Amino acid sequence: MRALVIGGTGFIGAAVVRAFERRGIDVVTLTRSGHAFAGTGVRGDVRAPDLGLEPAVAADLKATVTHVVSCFGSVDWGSGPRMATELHQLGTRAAMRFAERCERLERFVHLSSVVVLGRTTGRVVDELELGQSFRNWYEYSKFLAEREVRANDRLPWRAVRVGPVIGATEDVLPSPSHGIMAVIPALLRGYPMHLENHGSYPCYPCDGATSGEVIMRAALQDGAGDIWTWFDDTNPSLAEVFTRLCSPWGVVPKIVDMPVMWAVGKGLAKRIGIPRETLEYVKPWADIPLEVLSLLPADLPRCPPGYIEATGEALRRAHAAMRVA
Amino acid sequence: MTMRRSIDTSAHPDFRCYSAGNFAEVAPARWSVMAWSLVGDPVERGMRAFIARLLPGARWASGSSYVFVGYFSCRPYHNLSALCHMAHEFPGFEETDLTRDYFENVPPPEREFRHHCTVVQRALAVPRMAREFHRLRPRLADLEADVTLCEERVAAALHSGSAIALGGALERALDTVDRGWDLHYSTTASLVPAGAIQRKMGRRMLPCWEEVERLVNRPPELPWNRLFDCAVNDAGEGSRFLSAPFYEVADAFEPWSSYAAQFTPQPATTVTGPNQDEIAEVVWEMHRGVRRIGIEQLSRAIADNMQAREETKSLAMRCLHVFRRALPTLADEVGAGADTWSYLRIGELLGPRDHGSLHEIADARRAECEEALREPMPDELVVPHPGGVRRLGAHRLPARGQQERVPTGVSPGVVSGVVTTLEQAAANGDEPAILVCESADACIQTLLPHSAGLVTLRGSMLSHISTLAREYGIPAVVNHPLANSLRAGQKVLINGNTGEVQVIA
Repeated sequence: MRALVIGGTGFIGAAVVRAFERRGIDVVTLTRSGHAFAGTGVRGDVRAPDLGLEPAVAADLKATVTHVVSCFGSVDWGSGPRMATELHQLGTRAAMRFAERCERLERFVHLSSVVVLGRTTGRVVDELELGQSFRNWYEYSKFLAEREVRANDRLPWRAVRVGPVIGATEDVLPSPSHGIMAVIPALLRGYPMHLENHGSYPCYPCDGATSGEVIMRAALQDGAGDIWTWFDDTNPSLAEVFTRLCSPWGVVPKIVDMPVMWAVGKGLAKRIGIPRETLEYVKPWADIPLEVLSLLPADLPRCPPGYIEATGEALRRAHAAMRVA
Repeated sequence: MTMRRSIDTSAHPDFRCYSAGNFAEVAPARWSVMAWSLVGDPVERGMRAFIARLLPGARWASGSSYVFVGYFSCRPYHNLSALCHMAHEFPGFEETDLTRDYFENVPPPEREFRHHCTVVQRALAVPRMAREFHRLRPRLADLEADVTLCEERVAAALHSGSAIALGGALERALDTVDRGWDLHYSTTASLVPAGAIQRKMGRRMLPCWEEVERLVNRPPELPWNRLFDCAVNDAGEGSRFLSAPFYEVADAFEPWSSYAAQFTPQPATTVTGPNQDEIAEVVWEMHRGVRRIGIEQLSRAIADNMQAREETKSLAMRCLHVFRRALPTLADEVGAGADTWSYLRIGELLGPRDHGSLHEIADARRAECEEALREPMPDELVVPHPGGVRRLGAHRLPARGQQERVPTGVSPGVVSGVVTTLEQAAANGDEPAILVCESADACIQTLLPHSAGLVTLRGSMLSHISTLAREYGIPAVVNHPLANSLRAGQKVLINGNTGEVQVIA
């Protein structure tokens, strides 16, 4: 058994590689640098033909790889449409094309996200095309990538949807510059933030290290052509996540339900240091019922208690600038 | 270069810098006198009418010399100086916007002529242009009906065998040609300033506008695929104009046939690429408020105008095809002969002249054309002032090949594949084919459905080749210097978003 993890040095990719290693599976990490946290590292690029691999390396992988996990991507909500076409959509297409040529392939796992649902309303289990609109190019590019995967009838694929990945892994810290974490510095400085219904809606977070384990299980578990939606089964709200992330500093974030603050925040976003894209998430997200977790294998690991606070603590130690004066 | 022949048009006394521009990208390199009279004159009239509607005080756009086009040594040119001057009179519009979108990024010529234009006069051009956009669709519908009627009239006259009926039908067809070119150049000329305004607004309002622009400035539907399908499936005359070269009506006769590529239309069976309509919707739904309304409405108007531009082009081509079919018969009827009419102007053939004088005119022009065709003509030229009375200054357009080419992505997407050229198809197995060519040669349409990407030496955002690439949804880069050196069989990666072309192996 041999697994190829494409993008194995990212936040989730590193956790997946570690999970394979712990299971004793030979794992190959494909990155642009050739670096690997575990197993073997090969240099490549999903935007290049044949994943940019040396011909001999490509031939070896095609002959030996049994599982391909596609974890690459950018998490920058502020990037432009080029990312949509070049990295996520075409990169996923290239990864699948490579996987199709792997003679012993048993499973292709695609890492997706709950943000593919965009601004959809109503309950969603595993549907994708719901006529939703998107808040940014990241969402749309993840949507395009999942659509590419679902349309593929030549691969034994499985897609894993996760929400905002928060926990601290062995190798990589979550970035305080992207995603929902990007508002933490402003909250720590005491700026009030508008969230509809005071942020009482769920945001489906999950722990990074545990998500690596789940994605590995998705690769090894029999079956194909299905969507695994996985997140913290305690289902914390967005306001709760912010409160727990800020707790290591002893700060309670000022969360308000005042649309005018949203407009002010938009206007001052640059000065305050909040990416404007983040402010688009102030309304309830897609409604994903907890029952989707019961569709997954019963023995999947759960997010460990206190992982959100632990992330805040890790950020507090790593980023001195984020400490409250 | 003398250019004192009677077939040459008189160079404009103030606007003296000419560029083959779009004519060189899609049309034969040299045109017959007849083709020029059916295209050059109507284009000139159409542009003057357009300027009169938008800039009523622009007296520089009138006079006895051609202002917007020129015909030297049987080669058609756009008047770059005049068009750049027009750009100067629009608010928020730079000469470089024009040369970028329409003239392969050639440097704008130095301004020899200055016309004082007040701020108010410039500002008024904007609502007038909005009116042009608003009137576009009704005018297009009228034109389409007229072209169909014109085809039927000429077909009936040819069937009847009556020279008088045929002459009458062609006289009326001339009006339709005029209207066709008028509308075509109105759509083209309004696209460039509208695009410049949109670019300025977009940069202020949306992040990553440069990337978004290529996604939203795409017509909802273009006519060419549909027309090519008709051409293959329909045995009638309706779409046969597509298998003839653009602009030239004497393409079946020497010496013009040697300049006019012939090809057989093929249906476009493979259309690849992302769903562009969906992407445009996604772009608009990401934004809200005034930011969205302003830029969305302008972009939709531009996309609609781009579609209308291609439709007017196809209608003008249909009009020309009417003449292509009817002129040999008419020439026989008036005793001009099959080898004579291509040297005459349409007015001479339809007007009251005796056989002898027509032959004399044609014989003299034939000799001039033979001499002119031996003369190599550049893509850009600056016509000197006669007698050196006025001097142009130091500016000269760089010769083709010495220009700095600015590669431009004109159809979004990234693709890698094996280079195939018009001369040599690569044995590429499973690898997608990347078509590499100089410009929009006529035969390229048949190859596009089988290509995964396109790289050309010439072209700009509004070139015919760019339009085709967007219609087929294949990534395309134009104006790339590598197009000269790429060889069939080489592996390349092309990026239609950024204009990058990378040789992989």
